Amino acid sequence: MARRSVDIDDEKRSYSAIFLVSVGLLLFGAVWSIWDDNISRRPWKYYQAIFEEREQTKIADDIKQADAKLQADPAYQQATKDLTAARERLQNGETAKRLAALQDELANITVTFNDADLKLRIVKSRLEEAWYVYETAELEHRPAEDAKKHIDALNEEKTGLQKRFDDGKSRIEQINKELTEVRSEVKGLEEKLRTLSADRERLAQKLDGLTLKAGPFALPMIPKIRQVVLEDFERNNFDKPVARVDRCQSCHIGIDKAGFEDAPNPYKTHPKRQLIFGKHPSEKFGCTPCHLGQGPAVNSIEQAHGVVHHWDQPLLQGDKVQASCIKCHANVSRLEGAERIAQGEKLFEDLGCHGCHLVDGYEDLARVAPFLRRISAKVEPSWLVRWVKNPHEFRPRTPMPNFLFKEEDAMAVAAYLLSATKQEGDAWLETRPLPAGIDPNNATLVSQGKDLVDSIGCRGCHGFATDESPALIGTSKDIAPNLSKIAEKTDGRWLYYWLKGPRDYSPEARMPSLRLSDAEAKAVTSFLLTLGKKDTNQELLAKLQDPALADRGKVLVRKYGCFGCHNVTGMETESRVGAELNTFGGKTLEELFFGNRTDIVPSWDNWTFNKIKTPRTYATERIEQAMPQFDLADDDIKALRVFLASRTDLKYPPKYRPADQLKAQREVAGRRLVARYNCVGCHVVDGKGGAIRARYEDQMALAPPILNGEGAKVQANFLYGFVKEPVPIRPWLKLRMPTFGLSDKEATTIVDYFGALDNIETPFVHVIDAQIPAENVEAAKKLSSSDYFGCFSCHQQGDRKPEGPPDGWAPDLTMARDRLKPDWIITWLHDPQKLQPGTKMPSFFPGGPDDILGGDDEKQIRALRDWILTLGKPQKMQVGQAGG
Amino acid sequence: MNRKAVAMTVAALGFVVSPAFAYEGGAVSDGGTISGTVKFQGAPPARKELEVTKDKEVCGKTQKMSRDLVVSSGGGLQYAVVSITNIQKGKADNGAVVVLDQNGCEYQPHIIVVPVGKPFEIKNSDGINHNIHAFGKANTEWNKATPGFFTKQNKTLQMTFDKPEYVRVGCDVHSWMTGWFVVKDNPYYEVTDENGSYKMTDVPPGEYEVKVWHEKLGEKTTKVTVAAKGEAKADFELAPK
Amino acid sequence: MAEAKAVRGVNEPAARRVEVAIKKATGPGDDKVHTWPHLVRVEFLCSIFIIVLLIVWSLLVDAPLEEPANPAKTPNPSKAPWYFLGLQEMLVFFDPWHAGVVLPSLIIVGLMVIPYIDINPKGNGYYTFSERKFELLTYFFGFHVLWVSLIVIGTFLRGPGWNWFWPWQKWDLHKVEAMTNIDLPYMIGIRDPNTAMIFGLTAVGGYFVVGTLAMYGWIRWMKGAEFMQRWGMPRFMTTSFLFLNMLSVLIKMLMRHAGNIKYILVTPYINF
Repeated sequence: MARRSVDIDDEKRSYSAIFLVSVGLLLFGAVWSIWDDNISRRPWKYYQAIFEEREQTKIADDIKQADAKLQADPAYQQATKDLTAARERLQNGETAKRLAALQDELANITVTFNDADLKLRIVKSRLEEAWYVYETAELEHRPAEDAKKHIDALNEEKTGLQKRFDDGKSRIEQINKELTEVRSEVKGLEEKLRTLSADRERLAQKLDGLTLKAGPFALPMIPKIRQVVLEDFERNNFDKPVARVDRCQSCHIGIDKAGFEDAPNPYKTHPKRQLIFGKHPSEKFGCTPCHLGQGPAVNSIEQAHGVVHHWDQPLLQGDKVQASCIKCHANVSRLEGAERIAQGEKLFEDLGCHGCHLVDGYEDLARVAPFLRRISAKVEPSWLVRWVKNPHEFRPRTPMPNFLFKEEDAMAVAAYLLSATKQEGDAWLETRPLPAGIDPNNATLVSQGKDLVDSIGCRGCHGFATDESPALIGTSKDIAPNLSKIAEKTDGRWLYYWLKGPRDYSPEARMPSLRLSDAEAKAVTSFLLTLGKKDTNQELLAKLQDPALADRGKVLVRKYGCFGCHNVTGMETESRVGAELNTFGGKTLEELFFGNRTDIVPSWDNWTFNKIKTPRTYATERIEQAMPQFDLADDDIKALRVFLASRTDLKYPPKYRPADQLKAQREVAGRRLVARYNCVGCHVVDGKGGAIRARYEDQMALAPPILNGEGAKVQANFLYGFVKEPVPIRPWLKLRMPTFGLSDKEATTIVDYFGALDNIETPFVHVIDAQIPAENVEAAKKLSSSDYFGCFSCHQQGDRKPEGPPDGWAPDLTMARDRLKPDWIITWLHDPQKLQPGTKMPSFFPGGPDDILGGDDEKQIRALRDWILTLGKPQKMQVGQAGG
Repeated sequence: MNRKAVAMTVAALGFVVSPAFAYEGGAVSDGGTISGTVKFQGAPPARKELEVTKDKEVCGKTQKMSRDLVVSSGGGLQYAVVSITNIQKGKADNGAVVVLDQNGCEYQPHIIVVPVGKPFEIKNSDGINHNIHAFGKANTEWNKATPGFFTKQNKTLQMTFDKPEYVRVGCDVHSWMTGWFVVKDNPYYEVTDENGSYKMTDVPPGEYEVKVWHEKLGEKTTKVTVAAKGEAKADFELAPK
Repeated sequence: MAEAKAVRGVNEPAARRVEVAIKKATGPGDDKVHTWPHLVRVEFLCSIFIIVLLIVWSLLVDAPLEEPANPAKTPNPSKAPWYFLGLQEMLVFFDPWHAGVVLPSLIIVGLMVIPYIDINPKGNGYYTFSERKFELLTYFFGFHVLWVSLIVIGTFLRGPGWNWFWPWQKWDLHKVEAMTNIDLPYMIGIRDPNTAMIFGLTAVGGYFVVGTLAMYGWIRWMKGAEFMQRWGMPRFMTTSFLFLNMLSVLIKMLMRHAGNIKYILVTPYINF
C-alpha cells in the first residue's frame, strides 16, 4: 500500500450510512418483488385459497347433514349396534376363546407345516441327485444297486413327508376357513355399514382429497393454473392455425361444480350449468369462445377479462354474451338460453334493416315494405305528403321510420313517387273500374262487412281501432297496417281490387287473398270506408304537379335510400345507402363518433343504444346523419344491440360447431317465411304465436288449429298442396285459411320447415292396403257405428255428410289416407285434447268397450287407424297438390 | 342441498300443507236456515226453442227450450245458484256421489253442483254418443266421450274438479246441449227451483256473505246474519245486462 | 517525508492523529485515490441505487404489450425502436434522404473521425471540464441535446399521426393539427422552381461558407493562432463541416417551429 503524506477527505469519508440505506432499499426492493410476483400479480392463488375454504365448508356441511341422516336412519343405527356387539363378542366370550384357540393352533401347525415343507424340498432335491447318480451309473455300466436303494429310501421318506405336508396344508386351510367364519359376522356388518354410509364416506374422501397431507398437518393444495387448450382453434393475423388457451378456471374454480350457485363471483357456479356445460363441456370448449376476454391472461381481473388497451375482444357482459351463440348456431330461435339474440335477430329481419345495411347472411332477404310502383293508383296525394313527412303521426306503430323531412322535402318525395308511378298506375286503373254496390252509408252492408272482418280472420294481422295491435314486430310495431283510418289514405276502388286479390296490385304482396266473393269484397270495402275520413288539400295537389319538385324528390329518394325497403320506380339498380355492419360488433371506441353528445359515457353499448334510439343524435354542424328514426321500445333496442354485437369477424372451426348445419338452415328459412306471412298471427307454430286465439277463449274449437307437431302430423305432399291452395278441412270454422300465392320454393320451404321442427327423416308415407288385417277393419267398423263411438254423427265420409248444418261437422275421414301420417292418428286417438286443447273431438280412451278386440284399448286404436286409412281412395297425382 | 334450498322447500311444503281456507264439515247442533227468492227484474224475454240438428230419432222426441233464462210467471228466476262464500265450519257434505245424466239429449239437471276434489259421475241414458266438454278456466279444460254403449253397459264416467269454479259444459256432437257444473267448496250451495226459491238448512249461527250467480245475469252478494235455530231471509233481484 | 507514527485507518478520530506538518503532495500517486476501495465503493453504490430504481420502475410500470401483430393493420403511431427514434423525429423536419441517410452517415463518420481531429492531450484518464470545454460542450450538444432529447421526444411526446402530445394528454386518434409550413423560397415570393433551387443552393452554400469563416474566427479566438496552425486545415475543415451540420439540425428545427418554414432548398432530387 502506498503511503502518503496527506489525508484525502474522500478516503476518510464513511459511506456506512449510505450503504445501510442501500441495503434497506435493496431489501425493500427484494421483498416487494417477491410480493408483487407471487401475490399481487397472481390473484388466482388468492381466489383458489378462498374457494378451497368454501368448498371445504360446503363439504363439511354436507358431511354433517349426511351424518344427521345416518343418525336418523334406523337401519344404520341397528347395524352399528350389532357391529359393536359382534366386535365385543369377538373380544370376550366363547367366540374370543375359539378365535384364540384357532389362532394358536394355526401358529403351531404353520410351524410344523413349514418344517415339513422344507424337509420335503430337501428330500426332493436329494432325490434328483440320487436319480442322477443312478442313471449315470447305469450309463457308465457301473453297479447301481446302491444308488437304487438310496432312491427307494428317499422315496419312502418323501412319501412320509408328503403326507405330513398335505395334512398340514389341509389343516391350515380348514383353520383359515373357520377363522373367516368366526370373523364373518363382523365383516358382514362392516360391509353393511360401509354400503349404508357410502355417500358420507365419499364426501369424507372428497374432503380429504382437498388437502395435502404432510405428516400430521393438512396443508392447502398448491394453487396452480388451470387451463384448457383448444387445438387449432383459430387462425392468427398471418393465417396460421393457432391454439387458444383459456385460463379462466384458474380464478373461476367453481364454474363447473354444482352447489355454488349462490356464491359471489369468481366462486360461482355457471348459471344454467347443466344446460350449457351439458352441450358445451368446458374441457372441450373452454370459456372464451362464448364469453370472449383474454383467455391466457391471469395477472389481474382487467387483463383476464380483456378490458385493456389493444385487446379488441373484452368480456361480453350480461345479455351480450348471447352474441356468441349465433357464431356457431345458425338457428338461435329454438335455442334455450339464446332468447335475447333470437329476439334481436328477428327484429333485424322483420324491421328490414338489411335493406339499407349490408350484413352477410341477410343480404338476400326480401324487401319488407310495400310495393310502390303503382302508388299513384292507390293513395290520396295529400295523405302521401303527410305520411312521408312523419308516418308515425298517421300510424304510431308503423315499422316505417320517420325521416324527419321538412314540409318541402316531403312534398318533393311525394311528387316524385306520384309522377314516376303515374304510367303504371294509370294502366292498372284503366282495366279496373269502380264496381257498383260499394256504399259506406249503407248500414246493412257495412255491418255485413264488419261481421266478415270479425269472423274470417282479418284480425289475425290487422287492427281496426287505433289501439288494436294483434300482430307485433318486437314489442311496439305492427306487422300489418292498422286500418283505423284507412279511408283517409285510399279509396273504395283500390280497396275492392286489393281485397279480391292483393297480388293483382302488387306481385310481391305479403297480404294473402281470403277468397272473398264479389259481394263479400264490396261489404268489407264499405265497412273499411267508414274508418277514417279523406282529408284532401287542393293547394297541395296543385303544387305536387311541379316537375322540378319531382326532380328534387328523386334526389332525396336516392339519398335516403327508400328503395332499401320499397320497390320504387326508377331506383331498381341503386345499392344500399347504409353502412355495412359485418364488423360493427368489433368496433373499438376510437372508431365510434359521439358528435356533440358529451353526456353519454363512451362505450360501444351506449353508442349503439343511442344510435338506434335517435339515429341522428351524433350529427354536428358539419356532419350530417341520414338514418331515419324508428322509435323502437328500449327493450327492442337492447335486443337489437345484442344482435349487432354478434356482427364480428370471429370465425370458429367446424369441429366446434354443431354437426347438423343443414337442419338449422331449413329451420331458419322456414322461420323467415313464417314471419313474413305472419302465420303466427293465427297459428301457434313451434310453441309461439296464435294471437287471434285470444278472441276465442270461450270456445277454443273456433280458433285456428295449433301447428305444433305439424311435421309429424301431415304428409308432406298434402301440406305442400294445401299451403299453395287451401282446401276446406274444418267445416265449422268461420275463419278462412288464406291463399298466400306461395311460389314452389316457398311452399317447399314451409313443408321442409315443419319437417325439420319435428326431426322428420322421411316425409313421405305409403299405405299398403294388403297389410291391413281384416279383423281390424271389422272391429273398427263396429267401433265407429252409432252403438259405440258414433264417428259419423260428426265426421264426413266423402259424399256422406252428417246430420245438421256444417257447423256441427268434423273433418272428412276419407282425407286421412292422403293427409295424415298413420302414427299421428294413433297419438291423436289416444288424447286429442293434448294435441289441440279445446278441440271438439272428445277423448274416447281410456274407456274403450270391453267387447271389441278383447277390450284392449291399444288394439282398438290401431284398428280404428287402419280402417280410417282405407276410407280414402288413392288419388291420382294432380298438379299443384303433390309437389308438381 | 344448501341451507337456503332446504328453507325454501320447507316453506313451500308448509304452504301446501297448511290449508288456510279449507272448509271443515261436522255436526251442526243449533243451525238456522237461510232461504229466499231470486227474482228477475222486468219482463223476461221469451224462451227460445233449440233446434235439434242431429240424432233426431233420439233427441227430437221432446221439444227443447233454452234454459239460460227461465223466469216463472211470478218473476222467479230458476237455475240461479245461491251460496255462502265465507263459511269455514258447518255441516258435513252428505257424501253421496253426484251424477249428471245425459237424457233426451239434455243435461239433467241443467245446473249441477259437485263438490270440489271429489269424484262425480256422468251417465248416458240415450244410447247414442255424447261427449262432455267442460270449459274450465281455473280447472283444466277437458273433453270426454260417453259413447252409446255406456247406456247398455251401465257405464259411467268419473271425473273430479280440483278448484271451485262455475264450469260451462257442452256437447260437441249436439251443439244445443249446454249445462253448468258448479264446483262447490262448502255444502251451502243451492239451485233455485222453478219459482226462484231456495233454502239452506243447518247453517251455524253467524254473519255470512251470500252470493247468487246466474249464467247470463252475473253475480250479486248480500250479507246475512243467522241466529241459532233462526230463519234468515236473503232475497235477490237480478237485472238483465 | 516524515511518516506518521503508525498506520492509521482513515476513520479514526482526529484527536488521535499525530500532528505533522502538512506538506504538498510530492510522491507518485499522492494526487490519486485508490481504486479499491474508494472508487469501487462509489461505483457500487451507484449501481445499487440504479438497481433499486430499476426494480421500482419495473414493478410499477409494465413493459407495454400492444396489439397482436397484424400485417393488414399498421399501428398508429408506428414507432421505430428507441435507438432510431431520434432519426424518426428528425424525419419531421428533414427530407428522408437527409434525415435517414446523410445525417446518420455523418454521425457515424463523425464519431469515427473524433480521434483524428481531437488533438487536445488534456483529460486523459481523468475528468476535466475546464481543460476540454469545447470538446465536451460539442459532444454534449451532439449527444445529449440532439440525440438523446430527440429520442425522449420520440418516445414520450409523439402520439398517433406523429402529433405532439404532452404526457398528460390522452392520445387522440382523430387529432388534427394544421399543416401550415411553407418553403422558404415560396415564402419570400419565388414561384419559379429553378429560381427556388438557385436560391436554396445559395442559401445553403452561403451558410456553410459564412459558418466556416465564423468557426475559424471563433476557434482561433478560443484556442489561439498557434493551436490553429498546429491543428491544420484538414482537421479544421472536417470539424467545421460536422459542427455546422449539427448546428443546422437545430437551426432548421427552430425555423420550423418558430417560422413554419418547411424547406430552404427545394429540388426535385433533394430538399433541405
